[in-house]
Amino acid sequence: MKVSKTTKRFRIIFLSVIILFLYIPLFYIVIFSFNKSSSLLKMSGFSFKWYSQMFDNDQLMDAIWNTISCAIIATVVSTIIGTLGAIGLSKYKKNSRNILLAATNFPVLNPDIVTAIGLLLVFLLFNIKGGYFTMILAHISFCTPFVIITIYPKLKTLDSNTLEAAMDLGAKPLNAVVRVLIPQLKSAIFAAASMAFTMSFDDFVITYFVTGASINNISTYLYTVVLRKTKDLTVNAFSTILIIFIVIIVIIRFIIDQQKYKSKKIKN
Amino acid sequence: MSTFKKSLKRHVKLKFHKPDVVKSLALPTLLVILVLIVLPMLLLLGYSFINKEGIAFKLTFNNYVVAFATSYYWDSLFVSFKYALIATLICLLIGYPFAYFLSKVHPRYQGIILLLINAPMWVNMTLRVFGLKALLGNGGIIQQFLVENFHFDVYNNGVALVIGLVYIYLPFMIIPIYTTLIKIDPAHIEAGYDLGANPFKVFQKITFPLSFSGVLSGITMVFLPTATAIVAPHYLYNWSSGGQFIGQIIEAKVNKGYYGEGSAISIFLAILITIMSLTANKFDRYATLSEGEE
Repeated sequence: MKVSKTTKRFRIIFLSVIILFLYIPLFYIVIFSFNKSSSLLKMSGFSFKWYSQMFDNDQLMDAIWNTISCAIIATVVSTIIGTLGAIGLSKYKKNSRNILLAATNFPVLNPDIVTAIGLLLVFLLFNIKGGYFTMILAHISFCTPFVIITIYPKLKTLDSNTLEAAMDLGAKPLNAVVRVLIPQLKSAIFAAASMAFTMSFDDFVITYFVTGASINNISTYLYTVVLRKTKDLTVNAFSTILIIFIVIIVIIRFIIDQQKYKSKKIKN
Repeated sequence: MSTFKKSLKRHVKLKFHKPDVVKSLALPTLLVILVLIVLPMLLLLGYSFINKEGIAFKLTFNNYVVAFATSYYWDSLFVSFKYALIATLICLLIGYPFAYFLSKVHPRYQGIILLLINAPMWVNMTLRVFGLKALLGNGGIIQQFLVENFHFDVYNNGVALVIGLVYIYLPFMIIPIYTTLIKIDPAHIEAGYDLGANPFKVFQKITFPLSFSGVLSGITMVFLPTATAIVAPHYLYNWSSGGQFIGQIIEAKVNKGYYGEGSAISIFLAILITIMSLTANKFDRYATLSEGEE
């Protein structure tokens, strides 16, 4: 079925308009990060002052550090726990496995706010004071289920006999898992880890409730500090750096994609 | 035969401890599930039936009574669900054609467009709401322009909030629909044309039903978080006159230390959402069933 040129043009315009819509607020943040004054309404001149001030803003720097370090720790821990968990669970009896998988689905389905208050109650019960530690525990708890539900389906498509074969040939069980299963799961593990990182990096609700007002990540810093006084554009400077970083990743990916496509074409 | 069976049995017995070691790998996960997933739900349930007076705890249904006997909560549930429904519908109306057109773009460019849709999600959600607030929030550049020239106040009439919710959650609608669309075997579509169907009929009878599971997961992925949003309604919408979102009410209750009431509403939300996703799953099962039959 051939499509007419007008239809094609309409489709491209539609796609471009929607993509533009997703980027307008980002452009706006970038432009005003270079504003001389602290106004978000009027550009009064070009300056880098928010960038230099950003590094002097201790609260923001702490928030950035907390966000990144927590995301890294939560990603590493939840990826390891989740991967091993998926492998272990696959050997469970069907009934108990299904119950456990349903339980891991709770945080995936539940609204963040329900998960957040549940965790808050647990920390209250054990009398753990809200802070960096509770933030990390909470992030591990909501990242692990996502790791499991990413890896488990991939695990099911693998031939379970390979693990048995490795053990029959004398490999110790742990060795067999590391040498046989993990390499086959590499891409799923990577996908799970990047998902965990994004979720932890982006989290607001859960961090907000489990830390109290003791420490901030970027989201809670914005919510509790910046959006109330608003005369501070150092956050825009930080966002701009983040956006530039992401744009670079997108460009690199585009170049790789095009090269891959070309080499595929030559092969065919 | 019997000797074979015996040796097989012995073999199985010998190997018995090995899968056990593999099983034990799930122990840390079990700990996470028990302490950080199941225990929180039990505590929520427990707290929702407890009334704390000084240090004494009392079993009570009062939290539920307080929560649902007053119109306050029902109004807020209504407001949250209304905006969530509007935002989900608009996401679907934009997201479906977007995913459909994207699946028709030259394969060479599909990956990069998909990445362009995903990339804004890596910028912190709160940061993006911050950007939107400067445009559409109270005193924002577009909001002021519209008020001064057209007497159209997006902040007070809720339009800014709907735009914000669509802006944040649109990718969650596009991606699952796109994933199901590209999985459709082109032979199905061609068969439709060969049998004399027009493009509209082909879409109605083949493409749409085959992408329906993507539509359903898109709807759940947009509706649930929008209905319980906190940040977007706080900054893009005049909730003091328009009514609070349910998430904002839970936030206020918990911040004031009313864990019982906060838990009662949370439990109610969790039950509501479980019912909704179970219903969605049921529809989904039919969708995969019809897929399997073809």
